[in-house]
Amino acid sequence: MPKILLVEDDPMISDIYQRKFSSGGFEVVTAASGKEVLEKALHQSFDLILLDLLLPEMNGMEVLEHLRKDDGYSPDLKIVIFSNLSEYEDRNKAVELGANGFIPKTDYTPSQLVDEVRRFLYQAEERKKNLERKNASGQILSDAPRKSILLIEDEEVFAEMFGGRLEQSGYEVVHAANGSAGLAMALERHFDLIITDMVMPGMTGQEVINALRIREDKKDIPIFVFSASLVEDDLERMRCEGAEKCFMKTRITPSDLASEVDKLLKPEA
Amino acid sequence: MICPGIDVPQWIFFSEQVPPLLYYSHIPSILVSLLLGFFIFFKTKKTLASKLLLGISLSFFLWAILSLIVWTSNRSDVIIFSWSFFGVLCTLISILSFYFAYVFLVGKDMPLWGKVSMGVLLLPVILLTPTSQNLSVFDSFLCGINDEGFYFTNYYYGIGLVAFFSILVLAWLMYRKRYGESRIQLLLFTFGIELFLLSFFIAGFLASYLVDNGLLSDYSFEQYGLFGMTFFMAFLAYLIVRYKAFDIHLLGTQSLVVSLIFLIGSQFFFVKTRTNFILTAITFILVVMAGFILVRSYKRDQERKEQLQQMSDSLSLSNDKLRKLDAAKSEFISIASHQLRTPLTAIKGYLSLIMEGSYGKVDGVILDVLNKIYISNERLVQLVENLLNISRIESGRMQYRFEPMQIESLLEELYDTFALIAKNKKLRLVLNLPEQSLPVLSLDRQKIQEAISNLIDNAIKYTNEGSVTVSAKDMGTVVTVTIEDTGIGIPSEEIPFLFAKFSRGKDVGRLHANGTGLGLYVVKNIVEAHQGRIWIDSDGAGKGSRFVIEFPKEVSSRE
Repeated sequence: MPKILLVEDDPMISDIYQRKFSSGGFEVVTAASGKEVLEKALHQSFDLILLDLLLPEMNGMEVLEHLRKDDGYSPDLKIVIFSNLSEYEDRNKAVELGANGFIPKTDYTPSQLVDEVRRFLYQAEERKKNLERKNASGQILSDAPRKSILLIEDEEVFAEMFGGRLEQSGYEVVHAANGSAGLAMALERHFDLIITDMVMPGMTGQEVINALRIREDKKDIPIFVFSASLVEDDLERMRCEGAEKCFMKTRITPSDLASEVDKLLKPEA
Repeated sequence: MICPGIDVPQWIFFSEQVPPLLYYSHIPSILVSLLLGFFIFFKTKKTLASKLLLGISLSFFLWAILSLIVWTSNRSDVIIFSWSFFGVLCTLISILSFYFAYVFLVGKDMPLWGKVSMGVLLLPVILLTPTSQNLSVFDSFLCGINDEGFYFTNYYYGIGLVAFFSILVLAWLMYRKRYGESRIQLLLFTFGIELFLLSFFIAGFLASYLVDNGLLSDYSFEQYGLFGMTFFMAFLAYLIVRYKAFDIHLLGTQSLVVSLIFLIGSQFFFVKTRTNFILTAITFILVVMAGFILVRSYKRDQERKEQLQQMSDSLSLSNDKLRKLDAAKSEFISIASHQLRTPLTAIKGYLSLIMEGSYGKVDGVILDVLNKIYISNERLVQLVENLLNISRIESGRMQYRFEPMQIESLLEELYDTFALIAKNKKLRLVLNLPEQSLPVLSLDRQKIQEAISNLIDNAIKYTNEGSVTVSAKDMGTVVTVTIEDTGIGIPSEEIPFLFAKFSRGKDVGRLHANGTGLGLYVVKNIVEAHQGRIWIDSDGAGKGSRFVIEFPKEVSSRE
């Protein structure tokens, strides 16, 4: 579980953060002053520190400086300024001192804060992975055959964006620009996963799914549904007719999709 | 030659010796038929049907005048002369009636062969009129005709019969082609004209027959036949008023008043004494005056009614337009939102890929800037979501998923959400839940959360110091949720407008801490979709406000 350190002196608020972050899958430790932050960060290993700049005793910037320059602190530690910053200079200075990001205090509810932190950490993860990938580009690829994904999507932009990212993750991606082409391709050869858009000119995603589900040889292929126009507005409660999972394009990044695909096709990873 | 025992009639045909029934039957019928005939003729600008009707009226008029003369004259030459025309006129009336019926029922002029055959039928009568076939014996004592030409009279009676049955056949053929009101008109017309023909001819024929066979004392029986004309005209008048036959728009009141005047006027023929005459005259004048006033005021009422109708029509037209505009606007928002999602998704996706380093290393200031863009874009995505929600609610397409739940958990979550924000504003946020668990309610969790969240957000927004209290209570048949604040309050005259659509433009699409930016209008919709009620209490400006929502309890949990 990722571990977060945050500054909060009000026990009631601190309690709320505890609850929110715990239910979000994080471990949270709170500190009440700059000194406490430095102290705790030294003895415990955190993934991320939410640092308020308005601290009793010590200025937040100073804490930041210490965290980055002093020994004993991991350079991998992510520090996010959790404060109402208005000065442009402050922001720049914070970046120079080594802050990794900024979250204004008033704009986020606790739940949103948890999501932001999660996104932040996830991105950092991905950056690391990409760096490793670049460094390892000369190495021999594994012997295991690549899993294949059929992506049925009429918008070029999305085909490139999502398809490209999936290829980056090591999948073979075949793109079909409409429902009937997609169906034809699905019948022609085997795919490990089919990701389809719902609203397309001509044959809709639902029709493709239905056509595949009635065939003996194709009915077990997992299908992910992608949509930009949902009738129901709550994603979790959407009934995906015959599909493994459903996603809304505006709520998922290409890497998020890649993770979901990984969960399905590379459970061992 | 002068007929013995008969006085000279005055004014051509007024005589004391003749029963008043003669005048009563003849004169009003003449007047009615002429009146209606000319009226229709001029009103319809001389259409074929109206010309034919006028022809019938005139023929009838001539026939009736001659009949009067025959009955009252004391000069045999006048009598013979007049009588001789009966044949022609009767035939003419029959043929014209048939022609008229044809045009009225079928709706178009008769084909040429029809007209020619009618002319052919008429010919013998015209040719034979001055011959002995017409009138053979004149009895100078009775001043009457004893023996009308057998073939002659039977001929024109025959024509009358033929006309009668032809009209029936025509009516039956046309009946099947018509529906509804049209059928009723057809029936009324046919009945009217057949009644006329029947009464006219049968009366005459029957009277002759019965007298010849000694069953009846005099011919006066046949005079009742003339009333057939009046009835026919009455039917036509009804058709005009009720069904706008001949395309004439006539007020029922007007025709009724005219008929009334007529009826009273006809009384003059029965007046015996001077007193009666004066009284009848006075009644007549009063009725005319009253009728005039009545018709005028009725006309005014009609005009006003028509104005009202026009106004209500144009109002409903405007309403329709408004509704269409509203629908078009919702449609537009919906389409625009969908179209907007594509570029927003592309931005989000590529930004995230860049920030993840898929296209090369990024860090430092660039990473920070990219993050700012990303967050802005997320806001846009939320805004589009809000707009879509609003348009969905407005077009009634909002779907609800009710599930049994405890409202406490929802309120606690909201408390967590807003505690921080309240603290930042230096306000106290208080959550007041009862000791005992509240009963289970059937709610759409997400929507109710958004609704109450909206209210709490408003409360915090409009309170500068003090507190915001969220409480829930079991009130017997309902559960109430109250959001009370010590804020700027609401003046009582504004309260009714708060829940209206677009009451505060800024509420629409306003970004809300919890993401949906729904205005009070939508909150009300959501509450009402739960069969609940919502209202506001405020003691006035500066005295805070209280929003109360009522939820009906599940039927099973009611005592």
